[in-house]
Amino acid sequence: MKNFYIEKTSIIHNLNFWTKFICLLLLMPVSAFLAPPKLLLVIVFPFIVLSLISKIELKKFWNATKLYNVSIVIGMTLLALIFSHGTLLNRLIEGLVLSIRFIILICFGVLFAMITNPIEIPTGMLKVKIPHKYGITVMIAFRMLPLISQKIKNIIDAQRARGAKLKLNIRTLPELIPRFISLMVPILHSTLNISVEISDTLISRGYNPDGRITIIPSKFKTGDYALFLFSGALLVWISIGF
Amino acid sequence: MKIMDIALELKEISYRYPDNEKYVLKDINLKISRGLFYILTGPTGSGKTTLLMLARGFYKEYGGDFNGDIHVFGQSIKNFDIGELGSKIGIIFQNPATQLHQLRVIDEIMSSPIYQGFPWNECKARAETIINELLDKNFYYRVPGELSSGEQQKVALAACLAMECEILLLDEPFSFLDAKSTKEILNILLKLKREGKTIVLSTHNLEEVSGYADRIALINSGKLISEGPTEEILYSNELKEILTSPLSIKVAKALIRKRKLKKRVVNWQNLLKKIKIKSKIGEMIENNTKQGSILKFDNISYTYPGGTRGVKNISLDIYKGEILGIVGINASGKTTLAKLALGFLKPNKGRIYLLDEDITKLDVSERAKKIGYVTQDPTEMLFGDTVLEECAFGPKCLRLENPEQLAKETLNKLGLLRYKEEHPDSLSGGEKRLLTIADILVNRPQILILDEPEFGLDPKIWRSIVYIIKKLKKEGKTIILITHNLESTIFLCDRIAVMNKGRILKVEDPIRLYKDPEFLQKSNLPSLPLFKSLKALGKNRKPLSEEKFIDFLTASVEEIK
Repeated sequence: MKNFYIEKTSIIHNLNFWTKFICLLLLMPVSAFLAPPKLLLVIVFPFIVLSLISKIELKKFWNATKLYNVSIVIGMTLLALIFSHGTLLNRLIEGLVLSIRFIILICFGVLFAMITNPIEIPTGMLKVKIPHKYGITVMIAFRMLPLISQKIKNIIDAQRARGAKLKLNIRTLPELIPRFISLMVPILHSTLNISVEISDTLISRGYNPDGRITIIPSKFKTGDYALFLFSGALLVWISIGF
Repeated sequence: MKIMDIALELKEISYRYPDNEKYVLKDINLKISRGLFYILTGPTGSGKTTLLMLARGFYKEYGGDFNGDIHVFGQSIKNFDIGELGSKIGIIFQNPATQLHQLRVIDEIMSSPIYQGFPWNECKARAETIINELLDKNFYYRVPGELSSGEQQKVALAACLAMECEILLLDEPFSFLDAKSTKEILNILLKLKREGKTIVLSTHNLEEVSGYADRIALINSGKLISEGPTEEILYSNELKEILTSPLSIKVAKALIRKRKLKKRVVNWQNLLKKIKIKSKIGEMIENNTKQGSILKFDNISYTYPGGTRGVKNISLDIYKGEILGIVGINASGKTTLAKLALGFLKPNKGRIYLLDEDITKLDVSERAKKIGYVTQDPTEMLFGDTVLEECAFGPKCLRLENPEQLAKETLNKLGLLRYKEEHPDSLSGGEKRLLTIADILVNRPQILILDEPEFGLDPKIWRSIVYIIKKLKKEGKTIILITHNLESTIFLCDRIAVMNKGRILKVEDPIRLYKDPEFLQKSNLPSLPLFKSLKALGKNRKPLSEEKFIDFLTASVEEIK
């Protein structure tokens, strides 16, 4: 997700994490199955508006999603051709509609990732009445993954410097287990060390997974209410009106 | 002395870890007065960390057998929950990176009061006050992963202070830091001490802290050996035998013996104020290690994916049989250069030659036969069930003949053969470091790259590693030493390459290099007080032993001011 996030100063970026997340959840069923084919393009419109307000160029969406989009169009069309009934044209249209549904879903997901700093996820979890241990766990995972991956890289380099060939081929297959152990033991050791150190830090800061902590105040602004209202209205209009 | 004047009191402390027969601490009695800068010192594995962790209240979390009692401002820590105790006593650990668990500096500093359940506005106010006092406003929304180790340690310190603790425990807080960051943190600690906080710091590098310390406690094998005012402990025979005295104290002792110094001093700064060093004008003793280039970087540049700077236009000849030190502040490109030599990274530009053979495109495993690399942290390398199995791993990977015999010969050379059937984890810190050197030497490389070999080692163990490095040099090995420890390079390195922002600024012998304070400042390296004494060496450009250095220096002292 970190790779998707694009830092910009926009109203959309500044929205509350829960606004973004709940609106994503509301728009997902709309595009996936509620909206009739004719209205799919109506859903594309808010997507474009949100992208423009968030100051993220559409080209960046294309670059981030092109691989999925092309695969989906090919895959869905093939599936429709094989498994659907009706004329060739009908089957092609069905494949295309399914592709558009999935592409819209992906685009909303990517927009969410592009406007949501990963930091907002655990912080957002700490702002509501979800047990704080889950928010803290997610936060530690975000913080520690780069540390652990750097450690793994160091360990792989250390063993390669001793002459261990870590690329697999038929010739080195019998040596796979010792080489695997040469990596796994230090990785486990280092990961455990890191876990113990983090755990000691949390304890020393007075964290108790079962205790009470201060809830971070969560403020909703006009933009949050507006987007809630819009997404809710769209959901109701499409699911009741059609 | 009133009870409340004693910040921390350890009463008959003994401790044994769970599933361990041996007590790591035995009958420790210690009283630390309020407002002191107190040093706990002792060899690696002597029990310093355990002592600090127990004092912070971790005895329940660790389990094990805890006897005795610890009082904080007259109250037993057993009366407090570990979280509550945080408002009286805080702790800073060795590794700055793993002490930061939040995703922004402001959140990290606010975390302690948040976990204590303080009102949100108070959490925010505390964090803002501390950031403004210790850091800078631009730190608020910075991401911990993008901070330097020194900055991370400052943030950890700030987070600890957000609990408004009166006593600060610091466990080897400078291990990951360069000299400049160490100095900055020490100055913060001094400021906190002046504000009335009690500082208890564990370290085995007394040279850098002795000027700040009020008292020192020396611990060995879990026992309190001696305790007293800084000066008394620095000059004690116990310290000399257990840990070795800091260099400035050795020089001061020699000067006192020669009646060239009347009063004891506690560090280089003190010493240099009391003596005048006569510049030695003697014949030039040249470095005679230039036996032809063994490794050559020819205009090498490397940028990490994502655009992070690696190294730029590096041209460097490393001579056969020399010890080359690579120094520079964190992220100056030292490790990147080593990784390029080893083939972990492929340069974007330039070529690398090993004995005139172009190895730029040679695979890592092929280079492993010629260039060895010992990592900073032994746990990154060790995995075997026995020392012998561990050492034989490299030759087996490289398909060398008779790997076990090669391993035995190498272990014998480094004095580790007697442990050949032992598990590597059973070795001491110094022995583990030696084993990692053996793991690489067994492949018979021509060049050995040591990445911060002094990391985590006490001075006594480091001396034994220095002895081995010098022995390897005598055998004709070329050694590249990546280090933060500038002092040790004087006695070890033939030349020093100074790196900054991915470039090599200068390659020079250490004695000449360290005599140039302007250059040191330009390259962001600290000008250690010790460097001022180097003029006693005159035109000597050869690395010399500590003993020889002391002889030179004491002979050159002209008068006592």
